[in-house]
Amino acid sequence: MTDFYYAYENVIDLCLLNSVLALGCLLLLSVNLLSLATGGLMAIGAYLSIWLTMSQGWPFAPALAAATLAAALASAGLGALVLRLRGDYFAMATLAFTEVVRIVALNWDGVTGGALGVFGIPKYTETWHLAGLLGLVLYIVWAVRHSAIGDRMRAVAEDELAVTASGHDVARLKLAIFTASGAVAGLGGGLAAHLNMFVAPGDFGFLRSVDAVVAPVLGGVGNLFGAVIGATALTVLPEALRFSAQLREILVGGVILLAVLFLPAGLTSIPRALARRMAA
Amino acid sequence: MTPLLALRGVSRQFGGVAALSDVTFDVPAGAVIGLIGPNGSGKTTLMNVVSGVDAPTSGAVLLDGAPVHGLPAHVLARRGIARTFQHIRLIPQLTAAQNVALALRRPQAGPADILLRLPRLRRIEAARLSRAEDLLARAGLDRHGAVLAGDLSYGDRRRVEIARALAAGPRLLLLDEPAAGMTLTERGALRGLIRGLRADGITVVLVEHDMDLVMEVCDELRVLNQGRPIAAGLPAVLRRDPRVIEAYLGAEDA
Amino acid sequence: MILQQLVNGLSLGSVYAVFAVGFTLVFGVLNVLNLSQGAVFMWGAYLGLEVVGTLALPLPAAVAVAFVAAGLLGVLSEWIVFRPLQRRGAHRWMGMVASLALARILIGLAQEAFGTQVVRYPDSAMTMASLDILGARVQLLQLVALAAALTMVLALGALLRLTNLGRAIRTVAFSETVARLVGAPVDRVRLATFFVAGALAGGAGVLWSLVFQSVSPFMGDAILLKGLTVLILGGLGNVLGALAGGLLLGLVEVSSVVAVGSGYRDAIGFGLVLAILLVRPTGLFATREAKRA
Repeated sequence: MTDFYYAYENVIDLCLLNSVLALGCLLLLSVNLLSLATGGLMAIGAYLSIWLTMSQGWPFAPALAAATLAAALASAGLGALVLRLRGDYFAMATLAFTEVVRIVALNWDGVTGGALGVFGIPKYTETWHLAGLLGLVLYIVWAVRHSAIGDRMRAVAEDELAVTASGHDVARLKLAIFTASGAVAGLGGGLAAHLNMFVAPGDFGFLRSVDAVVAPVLGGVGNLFGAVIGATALTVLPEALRFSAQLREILVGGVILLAVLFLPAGLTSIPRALARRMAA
Repeated sequence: MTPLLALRGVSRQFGGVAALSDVTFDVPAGAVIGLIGPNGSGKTTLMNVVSGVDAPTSGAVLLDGAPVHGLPAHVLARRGIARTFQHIRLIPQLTAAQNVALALRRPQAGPADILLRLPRLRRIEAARLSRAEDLLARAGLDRHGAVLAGDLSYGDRRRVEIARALAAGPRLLLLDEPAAGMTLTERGALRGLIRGLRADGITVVLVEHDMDLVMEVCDELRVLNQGRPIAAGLPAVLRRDPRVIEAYLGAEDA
Repeated sequence: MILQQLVNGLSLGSVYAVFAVGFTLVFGVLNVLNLSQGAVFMWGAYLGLEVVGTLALPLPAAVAVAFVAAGLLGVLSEWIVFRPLQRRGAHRWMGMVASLALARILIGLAQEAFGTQVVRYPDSAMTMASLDILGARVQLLQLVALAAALTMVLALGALLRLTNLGRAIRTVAFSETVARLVGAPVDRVRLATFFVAGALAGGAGVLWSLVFQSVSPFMGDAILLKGLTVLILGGLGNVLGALAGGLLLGLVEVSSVVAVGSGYRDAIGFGLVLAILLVRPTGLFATREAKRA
């Protein structure tokens, strides 16, 4: 067990981290919001925490708290502006945000090291930090889903007008969820930055955002563990296929495509689908 | 006495088309008012404007004398205007009771209750569900609280919608074709329910095509035709009013 | 100098426009975002390169091959991804996710087939030629790209306005349900739309690689983001808006290099998108979304 851990520590860390990010996206998906802001919000958390620990001599914990807060504020501001956009426009506005943040990071050499990135970041993030955070986020998402707020979120996804007419400020609910999800992304960014000793703007772009949102869809949005399973699959699969970059893209793409086409409820529905087949 | 609801010159344009033009009338507190008119006469637009789903292009909507037009629907719901929809808007994945509980303001669990799973939470949620069951029973739907809304019959869904509107604790209840899709027995029960609401002091605006129901439960009628108010008064008088008859017959010709 | 920038901006913008017109057509007609379009663009560039490089055929042949082959890739995305999902009534996220997955596969296949280095089209008389217009040095290729872009968009406009297929496409765009009711060949319209969009993306791929002298498996990602920008600028589903939005983005990017330096060039477009969405939530030239609402 310990041997396994040491051999695969890096992959395990990434699985945990990506699961956390995916859960942030799952919260948004459950009110019908497809956000591609994850990368940008992560970048804010990552660069702020690096700057605080490396240039300002802050300890890790307050630097993470600041990263979380900054990303939450940024997403509250972004949300206030773009949450009124509908469907695809919302997705694209959040994508534009991520890209703007990435390009600013590319050009702000003093803080971000520009295109070359920041080297020699102290490795403060431990596996248990990530595992603890994942446990906490899982618990929070579970608790919220199993409450009247969870019912309200399901209702918003199905029919916003019905919820509004029942006396709820849907815009405020969405903003609260978007802010919470932003805080998670910011914290994830801070942890990610102190995980690998190196960070570059490309780490937080379009693809990062896409993977965070594909994970829960791949795993199944109806299931709490869908996000975790989807994120794990999306992390482990490319690692397992490290030997061949092109094969990796083809196979990962193929798995996602097959899952979307043949498993509408995601990977977590495989046991049920199998059981149904056995019964039939 | 200030009427509970007053419309003053309310107009609503969609592009070049006037769905409502210069509508002015009052809804006195405690009354059941029928809003009738042929299809496309602007009844649903009016319901939307009054409930805040839509805003008037011009004119004023007054609740207890205070202007409320342009306020968002959730604010109006909290100020006492609840409604049902002509096209039922229940959440099929939630149970009937959960649908009703959506609109319950009290008791409400706070973030701490939810995140810490305090013992209070279970009590609050039990209280919410039992309150929802009571409202369902009031709307004539006993022992259906645990059924998914998507699995209910059409008439039962209408009753869940009414229960949900009642859960918001309204002073003014807007019912948009509540009898559509109901059986004769269900319509009878609906008649009793509306009378009961009136007895409790809830003001009702009823849009309905079932004229028997309208004539039996309404204190007064307001008639719309092509977005304009053409008549107002007692049901017994209006049913012989030539303008009203013509509006309906004209519509049938078309 | 200004004239030079104008030509640079318009030729860049015309490539954006060709790509985005197809993109927006698929959105407008079928109400789906096909995010594999960038990969189709890249395949168009490579196939064109094979034609002029390996087969040593002239450039027009490269455009023609890229056009048809990329069109067929577009059709493939309808067959593999969008039609099954539409039949199932899947959520629109599914189409976006699946088309991204398809893009990954296409990119992986391109890496397998062509390697990962940046390559370029061989020099020829046409790619080298340049002329002086009113003191500005203009590459012939830039003018050709601009002309080709305008031709493609106008041809599409004519197809939509003047032919039976165009009428059917517009009917489906108005409402797929109505189109089925009046007996328009909906399935054929969907295929044709995906073909046209793919073909335009492939054509744009060849134009881009000629003007910018670089082809790589990852070139589709950048253009996909540009396409999304133009889509917003022009209003989702608005073909003429996409043309105007593409040219506008090209001009803005080129002039922003002068104004704020090349580092922020890509941010300008996205900044513009955010700004426009805040003022006009359905894009700069929004027409059909308003109609649909």
